[in-house]
Amino acid sequence: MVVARRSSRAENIPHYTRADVETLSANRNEPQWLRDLRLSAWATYESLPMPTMEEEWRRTDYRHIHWNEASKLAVANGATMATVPQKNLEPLMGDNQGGLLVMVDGKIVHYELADELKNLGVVFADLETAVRDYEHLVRDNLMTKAVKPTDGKFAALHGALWQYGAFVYVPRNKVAELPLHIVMYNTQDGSALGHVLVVVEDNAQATVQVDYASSEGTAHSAYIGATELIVGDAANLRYVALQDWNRQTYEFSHQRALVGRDANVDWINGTMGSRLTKAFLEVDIIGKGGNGRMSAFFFADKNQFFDLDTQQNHNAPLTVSDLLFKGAAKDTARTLWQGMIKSLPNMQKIDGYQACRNLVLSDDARMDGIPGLEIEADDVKCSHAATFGTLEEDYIFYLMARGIPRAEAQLMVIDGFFDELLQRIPFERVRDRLKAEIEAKILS
Amino acid sequence: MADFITVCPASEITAGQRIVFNIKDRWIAIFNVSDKYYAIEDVCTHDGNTLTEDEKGNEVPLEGFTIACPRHGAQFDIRDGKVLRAPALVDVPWFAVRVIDGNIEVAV
Repeated sequence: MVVARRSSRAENIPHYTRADVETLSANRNEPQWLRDLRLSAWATYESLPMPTMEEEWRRTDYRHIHWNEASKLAVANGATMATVPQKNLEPLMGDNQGGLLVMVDGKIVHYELADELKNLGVVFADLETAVRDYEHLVRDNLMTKAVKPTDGKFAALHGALWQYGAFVYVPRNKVAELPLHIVMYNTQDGSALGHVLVVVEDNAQATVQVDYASSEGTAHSAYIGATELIVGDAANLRYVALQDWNRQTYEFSHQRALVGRDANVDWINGTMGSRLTKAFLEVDIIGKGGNGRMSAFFFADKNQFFDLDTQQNHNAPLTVSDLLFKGAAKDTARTLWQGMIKSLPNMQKIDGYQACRNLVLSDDARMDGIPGLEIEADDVKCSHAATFGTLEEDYIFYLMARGIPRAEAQLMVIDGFFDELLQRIPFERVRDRLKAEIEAKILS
Repeated sequence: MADFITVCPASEITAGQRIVFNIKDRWIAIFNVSDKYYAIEDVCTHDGNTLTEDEKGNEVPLEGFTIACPRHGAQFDIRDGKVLRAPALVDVPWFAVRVIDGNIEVAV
């Protein structure tokens, strides 16, 4: 039994160095602008204290992470596509993928892109290749508009040390009907810093799914990630991100969507894995008439702790945002959702809504929900809600009265709770897979 | 099933002091009051934050056997975890402590 004494929050810090940044950049022979971007992010990282008692961090005690293990930058060791579970590789729709990019420990092990998408001019590449082959597109968008190194300590660390990632670009007026699927799978303990950059130009359309997962670990790991979704005017993006890290992984991530005029983003997030997840999920609606929908499901068990921090920023008038999070917790797990709808002055006629529904499945589990509104305009419609409940005995009784055994009845009620959320995922196979994963957690 | 887990030599936590340990992934504060040891989870059941430190990282003092959350003033009895004052409504988890062969053991 490991018993660790608590240090001060400022003492337990990652072990990365500026030399790590320089070596990473030099090994890849990166262009000067990217090297400068990394070093500037490193300077920001060094200038910021470790997050401690700030409002968005004060409930997230991550002092038990072993940075001596988790700071070791993971390196691919020859693991192949065979290590990736088949469920993560199945085509999202039909028999063929629109595009499939599989990375194991940050190294590409599989790549395909349908001719139909190539002919449209869709770019679907790993980030290292994209920096080389589509430099102008990456340079304009990489950590300059959506997630910035100045967003926080871990955003800065990510900006300095991101190791791998995926880049999706859909040109103006093009509709990518087939979905693009990215799988980031890790087999190594230590640090993984993955990036997703999706740029959908004006009047274009795309559907993207990212699966994050890892094999069983033997030491603490850290995933320090960033996701940038840049959706142009009148564009449309459906984005699904599903996380199932092993129980030794601590995730710290910044994820932000920028939504242009009359554009639409439909963002679905699933959190099932990790020991601790601290994710900042933000939708910034920057164009008049923009629409952002955020949905998430999460299910924590054993000693997991999920901390999801959301912001719906209405930075333009006549914008709509809609957030629905649904989660469950059992055993001694903890979850926390903190949400904020923000409207700048003069951003009139906005419609913002947020709701977090929590299902507490054991006496020792704890779920917190902290909705918030910060409205500086006077002609808006904004509301929020958080609910907490246990399994309703009336529902169980109703089903049992029809001959359904208790365990099965409980499963049906919990399935029903999550179903509304899962139906927002546009892929039937993925819905089925997630339903099975939720049921496995209920029964474990 | 709670097991007694050896945490540290009793001499490390002198009278009037406390140390917070991570045991089975829970932050547990062990207090020495007049050479008797008490253990509660270091979490305010109202807002989920730590009980033993304020926002600047300073130690929150005990008043007798009472600890008051530095943010909203909820109070708990460290002897049994009972909530004494709102806004917390739920007791804080409490753990049995014993000293065996000079070592503090906590049942977690």
